Amino acid sequence: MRTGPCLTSVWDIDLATTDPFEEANRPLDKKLLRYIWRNTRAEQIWILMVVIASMPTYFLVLDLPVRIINEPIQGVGFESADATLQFLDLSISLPEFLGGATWQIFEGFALERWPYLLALSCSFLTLITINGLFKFYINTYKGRLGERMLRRMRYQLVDRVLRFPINHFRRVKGSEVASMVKDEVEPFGEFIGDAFVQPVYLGGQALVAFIFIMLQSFWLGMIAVGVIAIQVTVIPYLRRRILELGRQRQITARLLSGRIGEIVDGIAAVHVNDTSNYERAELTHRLGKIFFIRYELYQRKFFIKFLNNFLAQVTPFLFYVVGGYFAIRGTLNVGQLLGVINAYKDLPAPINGLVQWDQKRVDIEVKYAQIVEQFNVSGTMDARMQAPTTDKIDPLTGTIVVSNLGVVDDTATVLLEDADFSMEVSDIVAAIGPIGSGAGTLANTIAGLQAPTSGRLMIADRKMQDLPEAIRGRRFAFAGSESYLPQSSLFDAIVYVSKHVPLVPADPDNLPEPLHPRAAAEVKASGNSTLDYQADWVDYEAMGISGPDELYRKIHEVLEVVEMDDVVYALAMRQKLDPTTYPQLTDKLIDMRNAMNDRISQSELNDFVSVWDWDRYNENASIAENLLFGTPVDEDTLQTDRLSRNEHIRAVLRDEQLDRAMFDMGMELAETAIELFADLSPDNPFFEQLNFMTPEQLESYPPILQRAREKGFDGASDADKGMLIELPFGYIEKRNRLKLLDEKLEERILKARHRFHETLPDDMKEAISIYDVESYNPINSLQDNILFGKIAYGTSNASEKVNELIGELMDELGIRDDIFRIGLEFDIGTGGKRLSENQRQRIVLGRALLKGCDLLIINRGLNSLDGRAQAKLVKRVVERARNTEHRFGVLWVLATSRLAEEFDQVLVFDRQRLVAKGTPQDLAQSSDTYKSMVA
Amino acid sequence: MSKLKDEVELLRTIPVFSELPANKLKLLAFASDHMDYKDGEVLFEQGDVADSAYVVIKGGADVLVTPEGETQSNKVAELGPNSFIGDMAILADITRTATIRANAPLSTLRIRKDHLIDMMQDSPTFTMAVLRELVLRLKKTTSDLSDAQAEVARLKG
Repeated sequence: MRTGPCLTSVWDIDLATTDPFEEANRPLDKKLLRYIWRNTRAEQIWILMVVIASMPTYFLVLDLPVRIINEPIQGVGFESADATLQFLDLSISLPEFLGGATWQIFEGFALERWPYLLALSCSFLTLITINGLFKFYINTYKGRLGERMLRRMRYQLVDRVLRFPINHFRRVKGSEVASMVKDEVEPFGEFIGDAFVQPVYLGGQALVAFIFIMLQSFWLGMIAVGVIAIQVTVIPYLRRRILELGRQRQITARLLSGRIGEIVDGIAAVHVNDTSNYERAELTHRLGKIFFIRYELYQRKFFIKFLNNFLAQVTPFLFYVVGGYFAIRGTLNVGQLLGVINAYKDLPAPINGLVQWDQKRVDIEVKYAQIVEQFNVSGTMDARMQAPTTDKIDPLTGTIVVSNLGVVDDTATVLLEDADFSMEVSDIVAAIGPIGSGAGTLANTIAGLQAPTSGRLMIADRKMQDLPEAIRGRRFAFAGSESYLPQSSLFDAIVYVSKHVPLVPADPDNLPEPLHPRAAAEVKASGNSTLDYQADWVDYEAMGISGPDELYRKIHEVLEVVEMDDVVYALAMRQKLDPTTYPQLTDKLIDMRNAMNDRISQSELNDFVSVWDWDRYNENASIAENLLFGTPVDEDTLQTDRLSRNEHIRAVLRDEQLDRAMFDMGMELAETAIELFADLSPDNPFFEQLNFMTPEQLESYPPILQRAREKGFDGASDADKGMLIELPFGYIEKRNRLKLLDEKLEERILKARHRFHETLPDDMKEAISIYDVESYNPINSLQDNILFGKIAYGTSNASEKVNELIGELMDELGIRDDIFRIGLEFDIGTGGKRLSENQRQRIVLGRALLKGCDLLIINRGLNSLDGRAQAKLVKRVVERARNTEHRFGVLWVLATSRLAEEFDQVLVFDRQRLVAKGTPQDLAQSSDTYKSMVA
Repeated sequence: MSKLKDEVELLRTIPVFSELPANKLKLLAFASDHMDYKDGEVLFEQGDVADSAYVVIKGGADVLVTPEGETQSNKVAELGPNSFIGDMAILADITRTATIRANAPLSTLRIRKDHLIDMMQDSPTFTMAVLRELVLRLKKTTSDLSDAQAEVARLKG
């Protein structure tokens, strides 16, 4: 609940007491085994016990075959025909030195030779089943243990990233961190389950097998000891180099993924500087390094494998020779020898396993140390600073006092020196100065994005650095010039800033993503965050609204301030809607289409939109659109750029003798395209205007055109015909203006359209969604559905006027809000790249306004906008800040200094110093620096 | 004859474009939009961000300038067919220095900024021609200015 103690309770957390945050704050253990033990002690002990419990069964599995061979098969104890032996006699004997007393628990059944054999064999079957089940349980348990630890580790690593000091991010590459968290940690999961179990399990097995061999024959046991001794000493020595190689492999691979990330992010620089070949050479060099590291690794690995196998094979040879000798001499019976060889077969596996476990341990320790080094960053924030709190955070009031503030970055560059000033949280203050003058640094320092190196930064008599993120992040709002937005819907990108803590639990019966029944238990078991991702996190109260119902209105309000509301409507127009999800809305949109058509036909808009008409050719649409009179739905049957390959279309064109005309048009288009574009590079901006061909296709046309000229339509091959007929499908008369179509041809295309639909084969009926004035077409955008036609080329302001009309109709039909919501569902793309930078900056500012804050800090937040737009937005935001309804303070580092006149106070920065401060009017009198900046 | 060919012919009669090879001229025409305006419609407003230049095919337009600090605009020139409008703003990345309003039904060819700049990077002769055009304009502006100054001096004195 959001009542009770407020601000102070968060503020006054005693940093000395122990609590769950202590765990998050301690650096990662330097030793992996300690890390694993600390986090999974109870589970490790349990599984160890299970392993120990499985040992007797394992011994019996080894022991029973000896008895089977010796007693029923070879006949020891069955010397007479009616002799019997006791089966299942359970007795406990004390060793000789304790008196050798024997207690009979169960005397067993007396069985003859054949039933005895059967009974022993069945016992053997039971035992191997139990043994297998043990193994199954142990492996599953280990797997789960490992996966939990993996989950915990990944969580802890990212948790640390969230608390890294901000300036650390200048040194780390995102893709390298990602590669560490994702790939490098992966093998840990496997190892963690084995960390303690494996040595005990394998060691136990080896010990049991070894004891068994020793019981059968001391000398054979010694042979086994000798071979094991070689394995245990020589192989680790050989493996030392492998470990070093493994470490190198890990580092080079991480650098590779970092480098690839850089190529992708810096792709523009590659293109504009023709450095692609430099990149290739660099990549080759890097891959070469990796290759030789890996190659050496393989060579050494397989040599060790060879040696291991060899030793394993040599031992049975010794057993045959030595054991055979004893057997011949009669000091060892055949059953024992077979038992020894059988046991030995099982011995190298555990021994090998142990050696491997140890190597893996060292290998993983190396990797772990690497990761620990990367993630134990000094200056990592105290986890308490990010403590989730549902307490209501009271508005911040009071004075921000900056005294002697200095900021120096990690390269010892002075960013800000000796700044002194104070402002009320509610003041409206501008900071001006060129980039690097210190103004931005001040804003970032107050926002907590930069740590002060000297001086003091106080708010309401408390140190600003002690402000938990719960206060800073909720009562301050920040918009910088960097406008990175993670991929999401526009809606999610906007409300992101208001998601601090889950407030309303999700309805368990109606979850967007159903949860595994054990989800909560596993979260606990792996020490992850217990906060529910699927709850409603949006802090409506801080926005000044009562709940989700008012959210859209609020979003609309702030987007209006940053002039993004129209953009949202425009985005809505590009969205595709499924009528089954939005039945009412799509019905309304059909009404809108009809109203639109009425208006268009009665007004000057007639010039702007050419509406689809079954009996008229639409010159603002391509030939393909005119012919199909619909949108292809199923790419498999009807591919938009391969229409000429479709049987039915070919038949229609042939029947209407359009194929010849299209062929001629194709020749003319190919000719034009080759003439105009052949000598341009494929990324030339002109190619955007070539709507009937791609730059790649262009290369294949000169020879086709040549052949077509020589042979004509009748002589041309089917392939050439197809290639040429394909071109005019994309041709738009009004846009391309080549005058390829006259009324007669258009008439014929119309006839072809009719024939196409009248003779449409059944298997194509689903592949095309016909332009039907009565129904909503889910394949087309919302706007196409409303217009039911094409905006005309070449008429000025056509789209503006159409939008105006759409706006009017939205209001008339009362669907403006619905359309707005649809627009907010727009997927903004990775990094928000589907929006322009300008739009992203507006969104970042808009959502800062949405959140409801006491102080809005803006650091050149609108620098990609032109001067006029900046001026407009600054005025609007300042006006909103002064409005009593919202009333918040502003600290705005202006990209355009002359806008400082809009503010109550101005801080003037120059060469990392605060050189003047005061009202704009005073500064205009007293400060030359101010005057020169504002002029 | 196709519209495109007419447009190419028209571009050729404009001094700036006359130096461009035939296929480049055609490419420019191909990539440009044919835009029609009604009498009184505005092509762009003073202060707008510039993204394209215009060549008048048919009709005419007024050049209107609002001096800084004033609200009323003055008509400073009239443009007829073959005029090349708005090239300055797209070359220097400045906002529009004047408002252009059709004074009769107007047909234009709209050339996008990227395309014009690409042409200039491609063809030094074209760049020189643009330069020459700008210098001539500057010369005219300078002489207008000195005339105006002389006029002011005369009125003062």
